[in-house]
Amino acid sequence: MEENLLELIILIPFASVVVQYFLHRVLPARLAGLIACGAVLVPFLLTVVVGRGIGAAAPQVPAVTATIASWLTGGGLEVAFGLRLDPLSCAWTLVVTGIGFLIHVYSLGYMHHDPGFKRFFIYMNLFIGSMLALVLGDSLPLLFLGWEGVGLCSYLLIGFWFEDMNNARAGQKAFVVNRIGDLGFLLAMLMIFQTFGTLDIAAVTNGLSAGHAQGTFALGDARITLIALLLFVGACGKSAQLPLFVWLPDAMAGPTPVSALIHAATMVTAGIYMVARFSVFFALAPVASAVVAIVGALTAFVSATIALRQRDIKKVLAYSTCSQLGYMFLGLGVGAYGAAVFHVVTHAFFKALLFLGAGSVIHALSHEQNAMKMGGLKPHLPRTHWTFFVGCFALAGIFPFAGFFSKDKILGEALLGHGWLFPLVGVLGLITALMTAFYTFRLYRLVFTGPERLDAHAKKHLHESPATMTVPLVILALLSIGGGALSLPAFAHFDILGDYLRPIFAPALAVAGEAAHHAVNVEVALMLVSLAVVIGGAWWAWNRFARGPGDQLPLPQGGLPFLLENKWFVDEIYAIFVVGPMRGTALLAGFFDRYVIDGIVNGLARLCDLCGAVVRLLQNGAVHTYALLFIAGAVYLVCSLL
Amino acid sequence: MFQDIALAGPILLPALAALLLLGVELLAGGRRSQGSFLLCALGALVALIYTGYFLANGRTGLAFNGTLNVDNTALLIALIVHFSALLAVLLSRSYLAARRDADAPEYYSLVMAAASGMAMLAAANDLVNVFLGVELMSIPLYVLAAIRRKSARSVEAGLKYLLLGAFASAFLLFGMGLLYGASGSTLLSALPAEIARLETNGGLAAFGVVMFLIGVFFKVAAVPFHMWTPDVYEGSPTPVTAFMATATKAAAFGLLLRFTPVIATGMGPEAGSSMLAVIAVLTMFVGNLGALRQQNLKRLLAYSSIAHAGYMLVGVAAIVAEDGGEIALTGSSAIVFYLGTYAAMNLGAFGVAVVLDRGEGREGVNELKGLCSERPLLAAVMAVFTLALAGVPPTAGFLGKLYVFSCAVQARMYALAVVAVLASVVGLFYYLRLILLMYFTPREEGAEPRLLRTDSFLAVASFVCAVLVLWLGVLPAWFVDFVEATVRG
Repeated sequence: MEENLLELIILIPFASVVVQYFLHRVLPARLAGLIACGAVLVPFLLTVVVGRGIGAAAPQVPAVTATIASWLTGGGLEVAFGLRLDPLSCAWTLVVTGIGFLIHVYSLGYMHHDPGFKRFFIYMNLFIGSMLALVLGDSLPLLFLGWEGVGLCSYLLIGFWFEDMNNARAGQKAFVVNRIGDLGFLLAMLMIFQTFGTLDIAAVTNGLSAGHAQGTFALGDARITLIALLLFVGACGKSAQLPLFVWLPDAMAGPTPVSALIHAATMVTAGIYMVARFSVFFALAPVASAVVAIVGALTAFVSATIALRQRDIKKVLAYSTCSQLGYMFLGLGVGAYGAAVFHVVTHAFFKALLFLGAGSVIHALSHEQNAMKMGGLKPHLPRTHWTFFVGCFALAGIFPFAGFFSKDKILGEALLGHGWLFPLVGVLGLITALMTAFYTFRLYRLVFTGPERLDAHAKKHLHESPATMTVPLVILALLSIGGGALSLPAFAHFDILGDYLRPIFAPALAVAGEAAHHAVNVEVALMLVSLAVVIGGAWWAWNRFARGPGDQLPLPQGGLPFLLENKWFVDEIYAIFVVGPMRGTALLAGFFDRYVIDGIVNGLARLCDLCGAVVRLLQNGAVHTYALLFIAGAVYLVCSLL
Repeated sequence: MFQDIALAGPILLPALAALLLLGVELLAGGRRSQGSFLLCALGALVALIYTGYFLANGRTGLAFNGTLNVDNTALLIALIVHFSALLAVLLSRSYLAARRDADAPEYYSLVMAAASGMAMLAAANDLVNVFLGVELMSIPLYVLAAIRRKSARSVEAGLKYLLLGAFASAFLLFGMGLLYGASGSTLLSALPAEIARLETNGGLAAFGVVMFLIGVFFKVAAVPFHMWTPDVYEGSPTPVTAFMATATKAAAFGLLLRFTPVIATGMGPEAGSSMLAVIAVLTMFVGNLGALRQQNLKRLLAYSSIAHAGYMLVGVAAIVAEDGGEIALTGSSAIVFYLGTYAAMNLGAFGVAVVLDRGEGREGVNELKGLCSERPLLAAVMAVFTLALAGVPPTAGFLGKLYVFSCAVQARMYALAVVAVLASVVGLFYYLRLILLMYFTPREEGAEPRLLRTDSFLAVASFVCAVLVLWLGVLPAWFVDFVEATVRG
């Protein structure tokens, strides 16, 4: 029973894709949209039903498993389309389908006038299905299939309005950058198969734990470290970490609901999911964990600095997403796995909220995205305004909004960690928190308060969005307010999410040693410090941008602002050091291919053609020729006996 | 006795259907109706289900004093034969509706009779039964090839097939005689032991094996005994061609698989496998090269079917090289898998050929031009079959090739495997040309309007084939496991 429901969770979105694809001529747009929404809502409800069953369970990691069909067999390899719903995948599935459903509903309004309405929902459903394959797949190949599937959907949706060459380019950039990460993942997968002889995820992680207990794999084992690092390369690509984060800001070329769903709430957390899933590898590889923590902290820091000076409302949020993902990796790197997953969940709430809010603003202003040309929207867009305001508090991490709890858990574990590295990345995280609060409220002030700076075109259709768009905003706002209750600080002894996930991370924590419990007053003091920092940043921005961009509009001079304005010149560095040499090599290879390889191939083809002519020549239609050849063949065979 | 008859069901049921059909036609007195079509389809379906039931329940055994060995391989081959017969019959209806001259009263009856012979060939364990099966299969096919009496091409096809077929039968009989002389037995299963015991005969057994094989090579259209194939395939009614290309091949390869121990003992594994390898290489290359510039779709598919026989001979060569052991099992299951998937994709491709048929001698590949924009579904289905024939993943054609070629690797015949892969690369040229025509070449200005001959039966048949080809390509595990498990017994 539960197995069948589990299969349905993943089959429904795909079935919906098939139905919409084949009936796209017949289905009215409205109905197609409703089918698409239903195909996300039903899996959400099913996950709730099935997921309840796995809460209370044995010492083993509780899970429901199902096998849809066998897939690859042979050569000692057995891979099935197998699903596995354990606490970790359940958490992700709920986020993906829950937030996904809200965003689908929102899209009904947002995409209402778009000629590609039906195509949009086909892609969105396909994305949900692939994402579910990613988190529910019980084997690495299936995880990889989902991984590539979401990449494909992301590519298709970034370039959704492909008539504009820039959008198509952005899609391509995302695709190519992700390939680099995927190569790492693929290599890790091969090494895992070589080391453990299986591709079943549970078998691999259990095998590693058992191997460690028996002394096969020591702490810091070189092979395990390499696998962990390769996995992290894959995660870097998908989750937009340094130095592969360049694709995410450009990905904002897609429709805004896509930015909310794929490039904020779900797909970009796939890297976090993978690292969390293979947490035992990282626990056994301190070097890899340190790399994860440093890369995460640096990404958080660098992206936040860039976000300080962006003008495009979506670009600010995009860099903020990179930055928040950096926090999550920071958490994973310092061994705060549960806290990282917690931050994934709360971030999904408030970042989806902010993106959808931004979408509502953009929708109202007839596709104006430049925050410098907004201002004073508060009375015009009341619901959008207050929900966005809530989102800002949550992103900035102000008590008691959701972001405060999750971010504070990560920072707490980092700052109170042992050695010099953890506090260092913790401090970096704290500085980032300051900047986060600053750019968040800068954005809020620029968009909603101060004098109106709209141009005529944007002003023409200024209106609050329809209910299909504002209702999801309200729900997400409520979640952003109350989401922190999922996992309160340790001294409160109320940690639903943490308890739920405990069995998943128990092996990793057993290896690394459970983090020490700190005295209550230390934790409270830390919270107060981070709260003070955040409120300070928010207050600064609040005052500084009270009257719109003010003195900022004529471009400021000086090195640092210039550097930030241009995003640290990362794209330019890529252009010179990566794209340029690649182009040159491609040119050479193209030349070689055209004149040498093609020459050989065409020559061979001509040779084949000639031989074919001979064959046809023999086929002259005369029966006696045929019989003669027959005899010749027989004679040859008999002679070969002698 | 009853047990024997039950076991021979896959052979007897189509024979019964053939007789019934003759009777019905006689009573109908030449008034044409749908009755015989439906009866024939039903007969093939019943035979298919019967065979499948026996297979699923492991009802195997020797019958009629061991002259029939209805083992799992025989049942699998019979399954493929009946599947091909059923689909060929489904293709026939719309073809016959368009070509009244082919619609002779005995048409359906002959198809069933041939299917009976093929099933017999697959199960025959005695040289006499082998010959009986070969002739029961061939004679109806000769008539079917020439069934359009007023068409010069059709009559020419039938006559050529008859003449060369008789020629080949003579070799086959001669081989049987020699084998009997060398062993004193006509039981196929007893031959290897007897030949080994009476080793004094020296070259006699080897000579017999070669003669016997020449007869079989003719039936599978291996080079240089293939010359009849393009002419006969082109001249015969298209559904009959489809039936010949798939079912005959399956039956003849079934016989060949049963004969491999005899080859290994009669000629020695070394000599036997190298001879088969030479024939396989010749067959693959001549088939693929001959197809390169073909403008006639049926001729192109004829050459393609020669090439496919070559691929499967690679597997047979591997089995003979190892003589027993693990590879005999994996090789047999690989070839049976190949035969099954080949039946689906080839019947599908011929089905599309029936739809596009413009009349005699004009089954040009040009009909495919611009098909995608006019009939996207038809083009997509044809693309699936074409890619499968070319052996491109994720279709079943790729896996079939993979399994067969990997047998050659297991048998350490690396050169053969490499050559086989190269030959299939040559094949890509003409298969992809079909796709190019369908998808990237516009239809000529002022071309005659298409005559799409189709009905629901044909549509269902093509759809079933396409689904099978894709399904077995993407999720092959169950079928591979099934074939392996049953071949292992």
